Amino acid sequence: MNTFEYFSVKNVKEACTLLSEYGEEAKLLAGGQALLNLMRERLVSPSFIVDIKGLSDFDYIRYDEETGLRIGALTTHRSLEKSDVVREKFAMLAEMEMTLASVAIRNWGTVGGNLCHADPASDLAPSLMALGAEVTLTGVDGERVLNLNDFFVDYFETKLRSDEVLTEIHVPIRGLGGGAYMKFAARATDLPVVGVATYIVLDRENRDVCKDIRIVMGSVGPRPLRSKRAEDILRGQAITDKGIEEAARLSSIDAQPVTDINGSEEFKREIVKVLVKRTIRKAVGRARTL
Amino acid sequence: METLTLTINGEKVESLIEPNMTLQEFLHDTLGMTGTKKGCGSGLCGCCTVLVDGMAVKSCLILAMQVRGRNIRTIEGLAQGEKLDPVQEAFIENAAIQCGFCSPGMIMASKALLEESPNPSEEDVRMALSGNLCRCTGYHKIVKAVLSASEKYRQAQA
Amino acid sequence: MKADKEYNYIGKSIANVNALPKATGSAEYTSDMKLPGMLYGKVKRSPYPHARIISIDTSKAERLPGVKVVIVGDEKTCPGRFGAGIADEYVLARDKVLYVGDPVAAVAAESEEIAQQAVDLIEVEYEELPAVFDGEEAFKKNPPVILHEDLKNYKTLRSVPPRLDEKRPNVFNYFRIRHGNVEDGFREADLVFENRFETAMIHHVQMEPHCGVAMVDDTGRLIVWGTSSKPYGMHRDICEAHGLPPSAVRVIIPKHVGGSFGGREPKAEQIAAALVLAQKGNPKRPVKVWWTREEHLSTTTTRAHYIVDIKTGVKKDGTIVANEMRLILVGGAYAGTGYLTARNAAFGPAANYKIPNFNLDAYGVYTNQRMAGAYRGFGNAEALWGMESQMDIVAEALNMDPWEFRLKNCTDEGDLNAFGERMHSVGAKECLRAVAELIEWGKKPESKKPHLKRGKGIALGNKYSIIPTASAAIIKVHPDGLVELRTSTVEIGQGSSTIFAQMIAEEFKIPVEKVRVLNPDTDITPFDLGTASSRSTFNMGNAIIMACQDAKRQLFELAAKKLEASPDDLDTADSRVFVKGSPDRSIHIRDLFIPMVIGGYTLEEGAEILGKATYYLPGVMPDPETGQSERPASFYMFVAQAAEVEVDIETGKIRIVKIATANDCGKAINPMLVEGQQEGGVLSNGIGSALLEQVITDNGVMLNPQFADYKIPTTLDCPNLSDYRSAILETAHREGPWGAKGVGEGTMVCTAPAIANAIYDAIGIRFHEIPITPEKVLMALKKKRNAQ
Repeated sequence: MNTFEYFSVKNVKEACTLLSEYGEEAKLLAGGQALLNLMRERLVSPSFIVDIKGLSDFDYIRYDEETGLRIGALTTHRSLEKSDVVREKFAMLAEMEMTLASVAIRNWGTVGGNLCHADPASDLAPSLMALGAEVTLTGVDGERVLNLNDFFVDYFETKLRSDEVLTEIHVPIRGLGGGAYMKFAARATDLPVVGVATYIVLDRENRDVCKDIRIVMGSVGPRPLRSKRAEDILRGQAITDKGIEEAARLSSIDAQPVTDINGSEEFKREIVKVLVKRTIRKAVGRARTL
Repeated sequence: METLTLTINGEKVESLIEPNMTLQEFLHDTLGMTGTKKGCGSGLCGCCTVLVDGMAVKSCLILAMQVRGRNIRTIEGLAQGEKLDPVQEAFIENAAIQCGFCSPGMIMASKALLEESPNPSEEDVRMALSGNLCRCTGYHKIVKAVLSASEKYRQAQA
Repeated sequence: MKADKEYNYIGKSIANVNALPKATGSAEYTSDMKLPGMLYGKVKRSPYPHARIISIDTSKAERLPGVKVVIVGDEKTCPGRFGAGIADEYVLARDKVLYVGDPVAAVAAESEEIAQQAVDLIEVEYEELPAVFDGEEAFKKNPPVILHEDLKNYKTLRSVPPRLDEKRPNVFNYFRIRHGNVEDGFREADLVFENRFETAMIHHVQMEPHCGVAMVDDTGRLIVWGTSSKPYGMHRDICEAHGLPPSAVRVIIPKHVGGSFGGREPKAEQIAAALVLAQKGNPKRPVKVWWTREEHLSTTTTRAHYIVDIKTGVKKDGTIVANEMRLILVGGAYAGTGYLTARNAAFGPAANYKIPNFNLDAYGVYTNQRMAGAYRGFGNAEALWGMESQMDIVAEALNMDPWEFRLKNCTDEGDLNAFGERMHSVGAKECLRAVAELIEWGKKPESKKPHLKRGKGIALGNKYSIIPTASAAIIKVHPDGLVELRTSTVEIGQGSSTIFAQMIAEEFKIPVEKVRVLNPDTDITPFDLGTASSRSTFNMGNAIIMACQDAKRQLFELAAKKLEASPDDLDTADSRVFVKGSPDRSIHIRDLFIPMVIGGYTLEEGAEILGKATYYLPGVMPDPETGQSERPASFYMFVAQAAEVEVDIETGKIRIVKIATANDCGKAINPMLVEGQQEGGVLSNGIGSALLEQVITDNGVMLNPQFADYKIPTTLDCPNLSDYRSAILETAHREGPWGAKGVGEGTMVCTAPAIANAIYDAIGIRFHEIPITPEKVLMALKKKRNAQ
């Protein structure tokens, strides 16, 4: 990879200042599990590297009943995977992390880094989006909060400004729900060819009725996609096989997969159908145990 | 050039390096510790696996500068003099090493697993080693070796 | 053969003697080497599959600080053509490039980074030419592109010459078998089946990419280290490339090599050598060339895309009466080892079953791709993919159990195969019976859920070992009793050093720790054909036994005088020589040596104990018109494999529930190491080739040249310990060392059809191409549903 000037910052303010100064020529380095590969392949050649991996203040997982789950951006995937509170309250996230790459990558790669890299084939992004997550972005001028759904723009492109650092992920708890993430790939360690995350909240009185649902499809578009039409036909309705089938069918139409070496568009749409069905059923099963 | 100070296999090491050097390159090329191998350079084959503060990591995907002040353990530091680590013994006894190119990384990843989970199931072992590729063994005797090593550890504790 | 308990080391599962340095990180591979003053070499490669080189401007590269030498393909740096069977390749392309990745220039510089920058500064002007990738197009009598216009004038190998086809200008080898009369056979048949089967191009994926390190000594003599598994082959290639006599080049293969699997053409080594020789001035600095993983996967030899056409005729009672096949190895721009693979793919089908009327036409064709050819199985896995899929189709039509059908027709001791050879040491029936038990063949698999369908499948295979073959061994008995072996067999991880040590330990009755096996060095270790064709146990094993006997003879002659006995009455154990029956009358080997004035330890009479022997097996070359021969191979390893699969009919995903293998290897010198071969063959190459692996290309460019997208099995893709079963059948060979044959390649020549046959049992869909991906399964299921 190219030579660069290296900065290891002591706080976020320093990072934002450096990013502001060097603009496009600088890149943030957290776990580097994506960035270093791009640099080795000479796809990016930043002249300045701002290393934030050492900012341990942003390595945390906090939960309380009121505000929900707060994850510092520099939390590793492995920490999320192993966290007791995540396993108990947000099982879908822990399960998703178990399928993400391999242990060594999870030990060093960060959740913030994964989101900012914005690989449309991310496992993390659809899962957090299904949970209604929002992210805090910190820049030279202060902080702002965006819903994760609004954060992603296109392939490897987010709303992060050139001077900003993603500092926190917040999953607000909204009622009793169950979630499931499933992915399809040739091997368990691969990036998803299709990934679907579903989170469902059941009606408190009638556990057969869906109060709210979020279905997010990953890898089948330039960014993770909410399957809105599918959600709409299920929301507020009794959960039936017919409803689930229809939701799956609509999802497969609304997905935007492209034919590539991992499969044809037609095949990927078929898989979307299957994973939507299966995640809904698993999420409902989970929600019913609450 | 940047100053890099860190601990490798219990010994303090200080060196002047270019910041674009990966940990794998530092270990293998600068320090001549050739056990940590480059098999792909993209963090997918696991031949470069070392332990950073006890965690298995892909050293080809980490800048050496990022592990300043940390404790690194490589394959060369596993044995205590002549005395092999039970993982190394188990790999040898169970013929879990054929061409050996993946072995240092495989052994280090196994070591990390056993230090965290002294009594892993077969599934745990396969999950822990899913990021270490081997072409020779089909992983069969590797999995056997790790389970055997965990047994050795338990006997040693008893 | 003695019963196992009578041997000290033969048949014993001892640990690999080379494992310790690999387990502690001190093992040095070619890619770890660092010589004083060493430069790093990088290569400029053609972006086009076929083009004329108009000009190359290296001036900017030469001016880059840190660059020591830049070479292009010309008369000076690459004077000679070389090749395993046809001399069709230069070290660097001259005048024309024939595949994407064909090297046109190379740089040696102070660092890899500088060398790469220099490569990027080399400017090459090309005139693009039309390219051919399709095997059948290339095979035509009037192909759209002819790769080697001058093919018929190329030098070829005298011992096993390729046969060209005047009418088909891209054919680089043609082999045929005419046994019996297939016209009569098909007339006699009650049912005739005709099918085509294909295999995708796949890669060996050795964990250590190819690497070469070259230097010259103080007389300017070239020394080259490499990852090649055929040191003398590499040696010849380098000599031919530079017009050097054999004695002018020294080839060394380190003690540790990161895998072979039949690949390892020595291109990196050739380039390193060329970069050393081209340096002006004094001294010429050593050069290391190590392929990146991307170069490794996208430019080195693969297992070819194979086209197998098979026509089989059977009688209603299940007897196979006729079989006709056409095999096309879709090769690359240079024949490489593919020339022989194309021919020897014939063995698998010829030896599996008793077929009185058998025709086979085997071809290798050039296309504008990188070389294809030698891979574990050497064309036999590809040919048997066709045959073993066909056999299940036939059995089903006959309403016969596929296992019964195979038992009925497979070859056995004394049967004639399609070469007209009377077969010896055939474990087919034993393997079939063993594997049926391991997979519980009679028990129908249970589908656990409605969308998960299970099925079982079985397949039979064999792998020959090459003739003509020669292996030489030298044994030195050290004054302290250590026995040293000098052979050119390469320890690629298969355990050759270990079993050789076991053989010597058995012969000398010493502990295996008192045996040392040297790594190949053409200055020190004598000729061996190569670590290929599963030939080392048998051929080198025999050479070792003979060399041990030669050394022992010398030992006994010397000791006889001291012990006042006849040499014929002596034996040796624990580094002592003793009189048989009177073990007190003995002498330690060290006492046969005395310190010599101003010298070291020497024999009292003579200098040292050095035994040597050559094991040479010429076999009988098949008749060029009929392929008939009474000894076309040295031996055959047989194998039967079976699988239970589970197909998720909603996603097309296939899970290997259980898999089993039974391998006939003759005497297993070290059963644990034989198991290691079985496991790697089945679980990595076998499952990988059946379900996961393919080289994906677009206009000759590989689209998946790294591990994310070229998918080999991980721990999670292999069945659990209890779901994999294996058996070793020891069908002794009368000429094998202790009856041993070999095992390496027999391990995966029929894995893919066993899995495909299981998939057919599960979902009733026959796949004609591997890999069988989830998409192919899902689309086929959809098509079947729509048709109904």
